[in-house]
Amino acid sequence: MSEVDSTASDEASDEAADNAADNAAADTVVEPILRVRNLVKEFRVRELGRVAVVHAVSGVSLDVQPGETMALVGESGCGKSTTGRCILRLIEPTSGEVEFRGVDLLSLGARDLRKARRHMQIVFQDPQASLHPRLTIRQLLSEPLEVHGEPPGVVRTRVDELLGLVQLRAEHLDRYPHEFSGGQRQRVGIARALAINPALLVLDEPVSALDVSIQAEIMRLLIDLRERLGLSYVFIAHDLAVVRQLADRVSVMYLGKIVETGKADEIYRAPQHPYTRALLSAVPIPDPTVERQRKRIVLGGELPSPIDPPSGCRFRTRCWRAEARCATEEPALIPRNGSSPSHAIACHFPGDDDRAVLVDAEHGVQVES
Amino acid sequence: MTAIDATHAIGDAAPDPQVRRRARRRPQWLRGPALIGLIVIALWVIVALTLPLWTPHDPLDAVAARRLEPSASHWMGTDALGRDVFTRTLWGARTSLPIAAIVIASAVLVGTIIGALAGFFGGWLDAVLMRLVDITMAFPPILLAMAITASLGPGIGNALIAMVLVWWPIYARLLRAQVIAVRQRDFIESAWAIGASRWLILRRYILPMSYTPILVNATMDFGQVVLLTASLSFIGLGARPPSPEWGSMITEGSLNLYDWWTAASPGIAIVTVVLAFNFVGDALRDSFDIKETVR
Amino acid sequence: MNGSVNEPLTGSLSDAAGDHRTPILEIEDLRVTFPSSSGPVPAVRGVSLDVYPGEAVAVVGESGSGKSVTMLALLGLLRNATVTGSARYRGTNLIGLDPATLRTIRGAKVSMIFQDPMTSLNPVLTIGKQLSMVMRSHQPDLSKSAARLRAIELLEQVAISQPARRCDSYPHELSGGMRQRVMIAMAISNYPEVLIADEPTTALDVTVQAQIMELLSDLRVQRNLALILITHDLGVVAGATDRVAVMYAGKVVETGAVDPLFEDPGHPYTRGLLECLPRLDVRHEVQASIPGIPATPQSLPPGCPFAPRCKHVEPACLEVEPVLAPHGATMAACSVMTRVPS
Repeated sequence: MSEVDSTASDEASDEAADNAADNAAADTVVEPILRVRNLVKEFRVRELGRVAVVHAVSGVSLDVQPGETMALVGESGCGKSTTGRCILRLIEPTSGEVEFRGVDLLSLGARDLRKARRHMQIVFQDPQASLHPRLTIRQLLSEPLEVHGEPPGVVRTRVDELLGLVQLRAEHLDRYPHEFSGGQRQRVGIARALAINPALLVLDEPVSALDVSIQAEIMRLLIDLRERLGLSYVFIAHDLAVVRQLADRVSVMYLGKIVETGKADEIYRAPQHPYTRALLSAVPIPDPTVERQRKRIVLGGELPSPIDPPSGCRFRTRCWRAEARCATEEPALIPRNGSSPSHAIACHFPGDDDRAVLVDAEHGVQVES
Repeated sequence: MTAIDATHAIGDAAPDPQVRRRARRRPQWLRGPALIGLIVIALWVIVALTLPLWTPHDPLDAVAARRLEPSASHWMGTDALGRDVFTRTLWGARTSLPIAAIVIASAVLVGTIIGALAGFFGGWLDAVLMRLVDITMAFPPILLAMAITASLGPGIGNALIAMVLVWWPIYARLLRAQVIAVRQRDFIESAWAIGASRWLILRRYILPMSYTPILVNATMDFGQVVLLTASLSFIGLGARPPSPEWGSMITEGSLNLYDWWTAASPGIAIVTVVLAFNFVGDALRDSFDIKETVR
Repeated sequence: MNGSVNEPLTGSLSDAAGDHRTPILEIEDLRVTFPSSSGPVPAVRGVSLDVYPGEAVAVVGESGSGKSVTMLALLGLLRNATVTGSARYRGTNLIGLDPATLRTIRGAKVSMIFQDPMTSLNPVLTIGKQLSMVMRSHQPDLSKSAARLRAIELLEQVAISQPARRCDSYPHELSGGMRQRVMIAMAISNYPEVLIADEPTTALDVTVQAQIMELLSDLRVQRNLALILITHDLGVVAGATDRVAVMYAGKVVETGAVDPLFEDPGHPYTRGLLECLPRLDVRHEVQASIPGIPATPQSLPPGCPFAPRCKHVEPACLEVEPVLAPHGATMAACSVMTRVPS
């Protein structure tokens, strides 16, 4: 099948992006629990007198179906954490739409927003820093309930329930966060996020700060809770191997934009965007035989500054497929090259076979076989 | 290459039972100079409260011949008016200590409110309040205190007001800095995420985490306020005679330095109080530093 | 002592480099103890390891395993620690060596790079200056201008673009990956024979990690450099090393060539680690994990330190700490798994 032509006006490509996202949900007729369109976040930074604009997130659109886990992956500086926080309005987006169950979050006043926060919560990366050091576990778990006006009886029962959910024990209630190990603290963080029964959980690198042997049990807990409570996850991570264990859909971000999105299998088995391919090939696999046989793409160059991102396609400065068109025309995130309707790629030259040539370190890449 | 400490090298896989014990608020800072300081302060407080027990003489009336040297019956001799210097010194505590306590408490209160508002809300409120702080701090404290007292009229009450007005900006700045630092921390974000209101966050999260430098400063400032009160009285703007305030006693004593005891006695009293508070404040600061870095 | 790995690797890089029978670094029964308010803490409890010229050895473990402390100890970089045992570089024992001689070896013959390049570089000096300083402290005859030229050459060798310009940059102007390359340049500037890399890529993005590991591998081949890679990432180990030593609670619990170790690990800890790793190429629910928390030097159980978390535990495990014994093609410190069937 021929490549879908992407030369179109902004409107058409927006519509196409909309369609791609909607098509992703084509299997079910249910409304997405979260609908993000053209989310933009820019930070103003003062640098020695001059004001610079950091384009942290530049037009991100995604949908999350109820019960689905959408993984947002990328390396540092890609804007995934900022996106997660914008979704919950912990950071105010510069522009865009964020709809939770049909309600436009960005237009809510302070009080309504606080009420809306009952339904969407966040689990932080560093359980050490995100739990108030001077509150006991009991207080930490009761707080979300108290803030939303639950009576003490309800609070007590719920706290006991939460302990059971995350497999902590009653004797832990009167201790302080610093008395626990990293894994246990993260359980507290998860319990705290679940206290008021949210439907959507944003998890910002929830296992990155943990030892490998502990990561596995927290991941298992997250998977378990998802089944039991019917939660939807936005799982933000940089570790693609971890993500593979629980993502239904994956969106890959680079320098503030989503470059590829699709069902997990589509992304892992047949990635088409050059960055996704480089990213996947860079992830080490703990198996020496496999590692020896792998074709690894080693990217050259450096990540451009988000203050001054490249024109057109932002990845072009490190891309071995780049041509003149890439500098003038930003590729839209739409299905291409025969991919399924749920699999969208923002690249003028998508494809899954690489006959890359050896280029110099300035912009190129070496392919090893 | 730099050498590396044990704490970094060992790592933190499991909680240390030692840390658990420390969490139970046992005052470990209470040793050495701090203990001495606390005892001295306690003694002064007890003396001030139970004064008639400690000396038979009246502080305000002449009780013996004038300008007597220190002796067994008058430990610090008598002053130019025949009053027992030792008694007056002890009575001075009744003025100086409460004054200092009130000044500091008030200054901390005002400073905390202003600093918290400025640090938490930022923006124009912050700008306005901080300019107020800057203006107040631009004046040398003693001059400002003098100016305010002089315009309000001499008297210990007015001196008190003047000192509060001079002292609050320091606390405002301290608290604002702490609030700004604490505001960024992840657990604040967690509080926002669960839907806590601004006031709850300020009250329950930010303020409790911000008071440590204030506490340390307030303790050390105690001595400074005692000195400032004494200075104001020294130049006649604070306590009025015959009130036995240490500063005015020093003024009287300075008129005739041959009677060294009349100035030395209150001087020694001031030194002991200031040192005591400094020791305690130092130890407090060290202990808070440790608590902040121990996880 | 029982359990030191003395077998040269067949078919490895060391063969091609020649002289693979004499290790360039021999660590024997290294022990490190730290003083603490609750008594001495044994962070490293008898580690033995041999490293041959040109080979890449991984030292794997989680936090509390003592992997970093071992290497820091042999280079004399620990304050307040009691270090016993020996670590011979070409026959000279580095432990207890007088500081002056140690300084001639450290940074020149045996170099180390660390995890966080930002805190390892001096923020107020330019890159060029720091490189020159490192070189001139070990090669005093090097003039300033010659050192600068060498610095530019080194930056080129670590694939930093526009090296002459970068020489005048400050650390904060460079990205994490570039800073790590500068660290590598500094570490190889005096032609070392052994490079110890302590979690060199943990703080870096995965694509940058690939670049750095690539660089290290190239340098190893070009200069016949032995690499000791300290890491917790078994993926990196699989792709970049020849031999592995797995550490737990201050001791080496398993060691062997990389293929047999991954294929048929002897020690239950190694097995557990491999089973609980999420793999990029397989989607499965991560079923395994190792129960409990990693043992720390402060709280060591009697007998085998892994016993509380082990599913093969037997009563004898709680009494006697096992030593390294053969298990297939690896050596494992587990009395249960290395039992010879009668």
